[in-house]
Amino acid sequence: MRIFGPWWVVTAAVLACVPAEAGKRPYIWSFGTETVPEGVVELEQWMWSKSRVPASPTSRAVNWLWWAPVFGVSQHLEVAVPFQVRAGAGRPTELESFELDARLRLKPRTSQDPFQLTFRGAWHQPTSGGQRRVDVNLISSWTFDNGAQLLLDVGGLVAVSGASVVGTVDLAGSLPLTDELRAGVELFSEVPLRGPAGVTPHPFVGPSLEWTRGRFWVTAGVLVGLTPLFPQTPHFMPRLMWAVVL
Amino acid sequence: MGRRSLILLLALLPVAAAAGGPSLAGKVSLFRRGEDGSRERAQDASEVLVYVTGFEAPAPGGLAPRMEQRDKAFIPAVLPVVKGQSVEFVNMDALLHNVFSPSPAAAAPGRKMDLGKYKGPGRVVSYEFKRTGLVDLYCDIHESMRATVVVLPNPVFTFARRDGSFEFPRDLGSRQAAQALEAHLQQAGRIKVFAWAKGARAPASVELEVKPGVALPPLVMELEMQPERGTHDDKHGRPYSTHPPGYGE
Repeated sequence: MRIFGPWWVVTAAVLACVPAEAGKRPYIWSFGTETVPEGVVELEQWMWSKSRVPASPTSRAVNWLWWAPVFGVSQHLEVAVPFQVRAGAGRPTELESFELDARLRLKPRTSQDPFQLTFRGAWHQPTSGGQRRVDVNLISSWTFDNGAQLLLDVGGLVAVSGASVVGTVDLAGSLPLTDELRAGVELFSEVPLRGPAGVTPHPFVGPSLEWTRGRFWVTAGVLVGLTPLFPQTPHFMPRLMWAVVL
Repeated sequence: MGRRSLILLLALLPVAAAAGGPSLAGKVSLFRRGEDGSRERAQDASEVLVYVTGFEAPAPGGLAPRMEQRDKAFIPAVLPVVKGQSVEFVNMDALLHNVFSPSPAAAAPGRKMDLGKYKGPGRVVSYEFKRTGLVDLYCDIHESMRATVVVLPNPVFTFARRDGSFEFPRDLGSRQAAQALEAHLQQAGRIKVFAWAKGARAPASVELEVKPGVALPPLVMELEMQPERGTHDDKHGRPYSTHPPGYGE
């Protein structure tokens, strides 16, 4: 994690800033159904890691830094243009990929209907090997009057070559603790649908905490692999995300 | 009598018919408190909103309530709506505007109302108000823009006349509102009548015992307006003075 520098300094700097507005990402894996307001640009950054797989003696931990401007294009659409840097796994730190990521809400962002549906489509362009792929997600959420939310996110990572297809399922729930703080829990799994034989699902479960203030939101959490049941699953996938509205 | 007048008269007939039932009338005296502490009676009380709580009834059908953003101002500055109604915010300026609210009644817990930035003229963004209460509205770009949406549990509301008087159901704008009030007044129980105007420290209120067949006494209420507060923060909780030149434009 050295390449990411003293990230606690960055986190502390973000937390020290006073003003903030609507938080939009209570989960560390699913994008959720919220989008940024029309005409608003947000700078968003993640740091995340995948620990080694205990059952695989050659596997090593990998760390990523994800960074993107996110544009509120309309009341229905937000578009992000992320790039991702990878470090670890015995390889030099490198620019891993660019993406074009669009999230389309069926109902406008201003809608307060409890049921919301968002479609996500992303083009993943690797810059240092790896496969070009398309990510798709259909995300539905139900928000109760007290602000509690249930979410189901079903998606897939489809290699353009057709060599592999990985399904994803994310079942999540969150609850506002205060106006600024929201706690969530996620059950997430990758399910290999096509590709190398013998690969099993990678299920995880874990908590997250979102804090929103003025122009900033921060979400931190860790997914814990169900490794005893699925030995190919990494033990941990922690992720720290933050964003600032420009 | 012109054709338009005849249509208007026919449209008001159901309200007038409903007015044959129990009624609720009164007068609000409006006072303005000066910066120096002086207290002066206002000559015009037509900005006072009078409403009844204690029961829920749906909004009358028809066009959605509208609030325009025109010449860097919200028009009207006070808009009463019924819980569950959507308001159309129409940007009539050839400028970017925003609508946001820090009020808890504007959105679900943990969420805030923010309609984003959108440019006119003629662009419409709708927003549904699902919780009763006062919703203060501002523009994140133009500090001088401010308004209030008053989200009420039923359509029994009206603005007082210039002299502060009001009379239900005669002053109600729809037959549904008149019927809702009539139905409520026919049940024994207590009702609460409020008077509020933008700038009032708190609404004035009167509680009444309702008995079927017994006429209600005329209501007398007094409302005091405070000197207008000069500043408010932007949607991020910062003073507008921190905005760089050209912010949001």
